[in-house]
Amino acid sequence: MATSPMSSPQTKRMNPKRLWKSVRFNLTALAFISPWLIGFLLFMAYPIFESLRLSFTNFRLLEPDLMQYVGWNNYKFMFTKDQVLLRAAVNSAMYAIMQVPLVMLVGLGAAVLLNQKVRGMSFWRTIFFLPSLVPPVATIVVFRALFDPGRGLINKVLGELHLPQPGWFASSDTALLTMVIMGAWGFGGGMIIMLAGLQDVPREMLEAAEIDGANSSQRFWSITIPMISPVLFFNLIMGCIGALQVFTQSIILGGSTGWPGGSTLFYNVYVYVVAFQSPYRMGYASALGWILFIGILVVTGLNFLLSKRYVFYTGE
Amino acid sequence: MSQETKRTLSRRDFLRFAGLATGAAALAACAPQVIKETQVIKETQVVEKTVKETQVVKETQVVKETQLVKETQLVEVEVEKIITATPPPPVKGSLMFTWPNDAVNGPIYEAMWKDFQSLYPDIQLDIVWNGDQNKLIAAGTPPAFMHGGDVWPKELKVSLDLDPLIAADPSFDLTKFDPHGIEPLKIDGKLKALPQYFNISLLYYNKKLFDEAQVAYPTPSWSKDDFMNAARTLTKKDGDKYVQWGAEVSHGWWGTWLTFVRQAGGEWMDVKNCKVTLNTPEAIEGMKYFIGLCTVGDDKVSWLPTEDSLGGFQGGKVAMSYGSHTGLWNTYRSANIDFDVEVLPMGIKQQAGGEQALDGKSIHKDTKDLEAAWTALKFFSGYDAQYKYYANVGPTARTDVQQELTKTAKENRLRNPKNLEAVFSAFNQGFGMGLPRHLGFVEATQNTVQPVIDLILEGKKTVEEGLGEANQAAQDFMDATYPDCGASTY
Repeated sequence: MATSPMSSPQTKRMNPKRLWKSVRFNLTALAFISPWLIGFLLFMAYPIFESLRLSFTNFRLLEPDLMQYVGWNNYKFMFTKDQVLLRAAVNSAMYAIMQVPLVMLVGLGAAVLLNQKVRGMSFWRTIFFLPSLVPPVATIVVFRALFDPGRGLINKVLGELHLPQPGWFASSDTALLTMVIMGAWGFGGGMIIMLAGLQDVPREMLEAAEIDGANSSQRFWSITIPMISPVLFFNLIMGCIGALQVFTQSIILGGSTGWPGGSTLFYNVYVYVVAFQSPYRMGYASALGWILFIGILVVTGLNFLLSKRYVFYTGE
Repeated sequence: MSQETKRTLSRRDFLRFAGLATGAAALAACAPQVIKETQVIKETQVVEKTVKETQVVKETQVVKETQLVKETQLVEVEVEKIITATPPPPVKGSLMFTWPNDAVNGPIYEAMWKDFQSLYPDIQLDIVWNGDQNKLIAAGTPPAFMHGGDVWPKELKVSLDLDPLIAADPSFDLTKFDPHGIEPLKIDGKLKALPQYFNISLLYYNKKLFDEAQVAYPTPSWSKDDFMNAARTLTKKDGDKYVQWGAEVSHGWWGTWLTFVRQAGGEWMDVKNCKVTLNTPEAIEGMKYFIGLCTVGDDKVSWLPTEDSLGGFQGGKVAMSYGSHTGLWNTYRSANIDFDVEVLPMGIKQQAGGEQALDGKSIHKDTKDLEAAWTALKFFSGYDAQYKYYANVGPTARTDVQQELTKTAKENRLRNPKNLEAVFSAFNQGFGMGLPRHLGFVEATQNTVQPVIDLILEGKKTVEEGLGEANQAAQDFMDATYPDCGASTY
């Protein structure tokens, strides 16, 4: 049996000169990316694994000498005794469940409007996107003033109309909902992505459907939505991750206690409180961080699994 | 005679004199410097200033005369004062630390450090304004100074024991401080920090609103009923809408609700700091009084979180603030509120019970340049710094400064609050109560108790239900996080 000269051991062994050249090439490449690589190893990889180690300790920032390994105690306490964590986790989940669809709906609606052929469209697109450029802190200050139960514009208008005036941020019943409403203000980012998706929907398909007698609603639900489903899926994933990591709104509006009544305490804020409020329980905070990571991983995984049913890729 | 006096200087004599002269010169060079320096400093003085002059014509049947009538008022002016001071012995070193620099007090702090630097030019300062000291500790580069106080024991625990430094330094006199400003800063009997300023719960009142309603100002012997009567009178409605509140109570701060609980004879924890005691009858009674001020019928003299606060005490439409914080003095001054203070009225059982908290500065135990750090700490705890700066930032625990501040007659004091006697007597006589000295107090209170109090205020839980629940949650937290309650007490 004749062997192919390509697969012979002689040809497989690399010429030392070529080997050295290849090694040198790779080393040069590594040297070029080394600033990023070193940065990644030092500031990302090491802290990630260090936090995993710390999550099995009682490490407190100001008393590093007293650190002890406590096994799974942090995780046990988290799931059996920590009522504050339960409240924070439920708040985060509720916020994500309400806020993500709302932002997607508002963003999609705005994107559909901005996809029309109207004069001055660039101006309208800029106007619709502007709220996303407002810093979150400024947005919160404005919304807090608007929704102030005593002196806010919203309740003044409701009062004039003889309608009930809710407590908004000041009532534990409505505080989370008001935060969701405020969250919808940042629909601009998703809107731009969805607008790009809408512009990619093949015109021929829509025209063919129109000729076949499909009305605008049928064209939207049967052609546009499936065609932009990958974009919607991307927004859903990013929205879920973002909603589960909300921090600024919660800490500014509700402080470290999630005022009122813990109704605005989010998971991320609780991690921060445990880590950076005296006594700086970094060990427990690390455990909380890992559980949040696993939680987000599970949610993202579920989304990917479900996406097989509703996401349509034209190339497939 | 001339023959006798004319003596030739022998070589030996010459060498003897030369030796003596050299020795004297060396001694003179090594002796402490007593160079007197003259410097010009700026000092604030109270003077009478003519603000308006009017010609008044007085006409009687007999004569007609013109008089110059002057309207005067007391104002604060900066005068230059020439002083002759002995410069302190030079200290060399370098200090790195964080220091707060907020909009209100920032300029005061900056001026303070400039003063220090002019006195000690050989101490190199590396100030991280508004920096996070704990990050520096975590990074292994602890700051020379630690900010802390009796509420933040962790910071005190990593601070240097100051007792040996004080014992070795005759220029520092600890007895200048009232013991109420020293004892809370000790851990295991060792002094860990020096007090900078304190908070003591007081009754703040808006003099204008009291005058308008012709209600007498609060007195040190006010009973609970006196307070309630005044608060009811000063609460005003226009139809269904409140247009003036009788009193302010902070909803989200332990310093207020714990005051009511303690004045009713309750406590946060038992004496051993092992058992949370917020569900006792006394604590429940005190909490009911607190909640009632915002909720109950005719006794409603304050707002709920969902109601219009009318801008709070600094808004000028709230007559009193029960247990406000001395850290808010500058806010009230900026809002031009004509306010004063009095010791808290009698509570349900006792007058004592208000919050007493100390802001202290300490030296980190691993500070390398100890002499420089101690020099700076002494400077900020000294008479001048405490007088010049902390009269503005907050009240001082130094009794000599307190005496100086109260020398001026009350009516001639320019800044509110004028009743400094009430401030210092409440502090020095122990009207305030330190917070529970347990490492977990702050975290447990913030995270487990406060949210339940919010719900009680909203009417979603009764006081009994809420405090029962909060008590259990706080106890669970303490048991799990600090299983050895004795070791967690400081």
